[in-house]
Amino acid sequence: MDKNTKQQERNSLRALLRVILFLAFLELFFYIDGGLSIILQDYQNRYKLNQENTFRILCIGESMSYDGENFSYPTQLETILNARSQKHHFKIINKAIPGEGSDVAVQRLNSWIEEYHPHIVVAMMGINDYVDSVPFDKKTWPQKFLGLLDNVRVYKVAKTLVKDAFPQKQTLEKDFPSNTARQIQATQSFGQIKSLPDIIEEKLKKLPPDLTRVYLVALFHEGKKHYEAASFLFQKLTEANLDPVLTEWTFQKWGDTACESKNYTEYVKVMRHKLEKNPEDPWVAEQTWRMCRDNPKDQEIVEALNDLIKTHPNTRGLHDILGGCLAETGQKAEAEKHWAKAEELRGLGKNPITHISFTKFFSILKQKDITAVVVQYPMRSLSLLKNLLEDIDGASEAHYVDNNSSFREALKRGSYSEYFKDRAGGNFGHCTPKGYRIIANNVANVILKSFE
Amino acid sequence: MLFNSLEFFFFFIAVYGLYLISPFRWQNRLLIVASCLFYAAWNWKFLALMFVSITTDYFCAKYMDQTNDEKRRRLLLALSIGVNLTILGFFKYFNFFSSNLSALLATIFPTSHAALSKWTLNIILPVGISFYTFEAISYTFDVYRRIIKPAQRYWDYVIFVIYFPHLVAGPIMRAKDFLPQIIAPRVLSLEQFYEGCSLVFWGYFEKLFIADNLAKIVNPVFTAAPPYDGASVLIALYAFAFQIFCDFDAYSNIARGLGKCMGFEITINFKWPYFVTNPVDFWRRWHISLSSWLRDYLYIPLGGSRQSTLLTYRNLFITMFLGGLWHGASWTFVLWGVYHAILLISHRIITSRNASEPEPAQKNEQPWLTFLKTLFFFHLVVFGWLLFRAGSLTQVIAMLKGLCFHFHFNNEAQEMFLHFVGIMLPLLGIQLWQYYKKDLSVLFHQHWFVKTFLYALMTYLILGWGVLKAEEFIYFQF
Repeated sequence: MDKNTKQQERNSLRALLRVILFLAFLELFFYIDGGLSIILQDYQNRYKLNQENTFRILCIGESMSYDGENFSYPTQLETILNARSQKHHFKIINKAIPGEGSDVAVQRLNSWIEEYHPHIVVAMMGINDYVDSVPFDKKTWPQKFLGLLDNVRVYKVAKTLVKDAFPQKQTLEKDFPSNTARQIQATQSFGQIKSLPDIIEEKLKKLPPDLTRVYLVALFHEGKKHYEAASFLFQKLTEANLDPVLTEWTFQKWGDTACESKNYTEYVKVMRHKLEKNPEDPWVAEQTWRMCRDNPKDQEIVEALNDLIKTHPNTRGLHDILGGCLAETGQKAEAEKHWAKAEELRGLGKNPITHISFTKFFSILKQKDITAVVVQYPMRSLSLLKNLLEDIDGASEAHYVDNNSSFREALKRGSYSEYFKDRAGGNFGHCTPKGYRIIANNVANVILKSFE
Repeated sequence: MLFNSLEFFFFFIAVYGLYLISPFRWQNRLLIVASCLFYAAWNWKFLALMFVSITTDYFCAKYMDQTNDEKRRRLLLALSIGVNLTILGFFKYFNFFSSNLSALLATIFPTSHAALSKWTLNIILPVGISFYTFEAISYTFDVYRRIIKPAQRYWDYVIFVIYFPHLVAGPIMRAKDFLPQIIAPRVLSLEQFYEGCSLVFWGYFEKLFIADNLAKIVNPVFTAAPPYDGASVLIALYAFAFQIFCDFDAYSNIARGLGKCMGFEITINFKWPYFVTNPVDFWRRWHISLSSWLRDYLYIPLGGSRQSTLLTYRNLFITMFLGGLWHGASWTFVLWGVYHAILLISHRIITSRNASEPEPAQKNEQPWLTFLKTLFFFHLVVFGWLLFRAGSLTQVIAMLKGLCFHFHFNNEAQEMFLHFVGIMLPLLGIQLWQYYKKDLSVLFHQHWFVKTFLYALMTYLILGWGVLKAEEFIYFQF
């Protein structure tokens, strides 16, 4: 081998060594960063811990419990409890570890209890177990490797950066081609015609059939709450040969006005059309739930959804929608089945890791005679969580916090981004301060009720 | 296309890949196409405007060199400068002057206000216009003064103006330094490539970790309504002093680094500007390409310091006045320029030192005295940044009131201060190290183990604490 080749080889090895060293240093810095965060968290936990008559509450979990700094749900919980209770002073010890699964939280539970002597332990955990839902010894080699790789912080950061750099398109854009926002804005501006005087309406009626003017009139009727008239006009527009974007938009307007006029037959037609195009259509999910809630005796929608599920049995969104509908129409057992199916399709199901973690959790708390409060994630059914834990000793004595209905109510009043920062959990994500306040309020209600 | 965006990353990878495999002439053609695409990504319509300036200057310089008739040469120079200043004046200053003129006339003729207020137009400011017009003027001026020969080929001159790493926010290159590099084949070495990458990396660190994080301290204070708390204003000013430095130095370093990777040497734009004790030295180290341009093409042609003392002060005043105005069409920028003129004039009066003299050796001065002088002068510069950053004169006055009469180092100010210190520590450490070793690239001349450690640390700071959303560079607006 000549000198040049040897030199090149040496240079390549040197370069490789430097890259490995670089990654090792980077991993070390992230590790130290995590350690410092825990130390800071510990300092905040110890602050005012030994005040007299302090009722100590230990919160465990992952990023949903850690995130938010001064507006995290445990911090807000402390403020709410102290504001509402005259008799007791509360101190929250937040031992949530972002990015970790329930097994890690429960592993350290004993030592935290020895250190802080909490009166109550509040647990919101399990969402990260999705990644590791198969017990390690049952994994294939690629799965084992990916599981181990997920413990490497540099890999996790790189994954997040790639995900942020190439985000998945929002559902709305999946339904419509690009430029939708502009088009919707343009069409919504017509909605200002609420204030059009009657004389203009007369003139519009006398005009020859011009699709744009038909649309203007339809919006005008909608503005005046003449929903049947508006619905009729929007339906006509869907039959006209409009471009695909406008066709979908008019379908949606037809559906909106059909909902407002409580015309289920018409609504079902719209629902079928939209779900055929996108079984996970969020607009349909929202509207269908409202229709079922407002008209619990009507079965037309339920029948239509059942038909659709026969042709799309593995569509998570359809099961979610049907579950919601059945629950609103009083068929809770059927609803649970479809929600369970949705959860299974979502990937959580009866996660063995979560089950094992909660078994240990209840066992430790029962031994130490400490009250357990188990918090379900926002937008997730509490009954599913209870189903997961029903066979565990100690689970029935625990207090449960339901965040499902309060968040669904909140989303009726406000937008998703008002309460959530991302979609880390699929149909929910890390919360804004407003979102964490909802969780904190729900947990506070349960804790204070347990004192009564 | 911002340097700190994903689009630019993919753009540069593609361009650089083609650049490496292309022969010399094709490299230059590639640079022209890439630079046009880079600029067009912002607004393709203003490419035509840039080519009007380029074409005028190229032919003016060419014909200037072909004749010895002074009158004709002066006319061609005037034409080139006229076209560039007209373009700059119209796009950047039309609304400023017309609104001020209409306000002035309205005070004299109150009934004419409504008609006069319609003089303003909806003008978009072309990105980089302040930089490329000044670069073009320096070229024709140098040809006129026979310092350089004009570019033989039109396309070589095109690259001189539109070379994309420095197109939008400088440094303002001189033809005598840059044209020879365009005309001759570039030698690309691995060492140069590594140094280029290191400069780019350091630039990204300055921008993503330091400047954009400091912006989070500065912006809430300057966008808030009065009354202002003095402590918050002071901390925000300190933060802005380093934000604008790091932001601009970052851009310059990235431009230099990209240039180095392609075999070009781009001029250094900053050299520890805050480690000085007087305004003359400050302007030798701050935005060097602009300050040297103002000196060579404005101050010296006006007479510099060769005439009487009063005329020297006049020349300083005009230079800094226009230097302030160059930064933007606003009275606060003008005031900032005038403020620095006052500092320069005052310094001349106090020290009787000629601006063309080199920095005095300070071997006999006590370190603690130098430190105090540096600290004092730094605060004079920071006061100037108040004028620069404030949105209006009203805000300047309100903030001064806060500084003088409402100074409370409350919890909010304490938290701001801690954030500021946390962000500044790495920068201060590195700047002091560079200054002590008198080497801007001291970081990259360390042992490979130390370098790897430092790169990993800076990467961690960028990923863990940096602002990864693409934020515009401050000097883009100029």
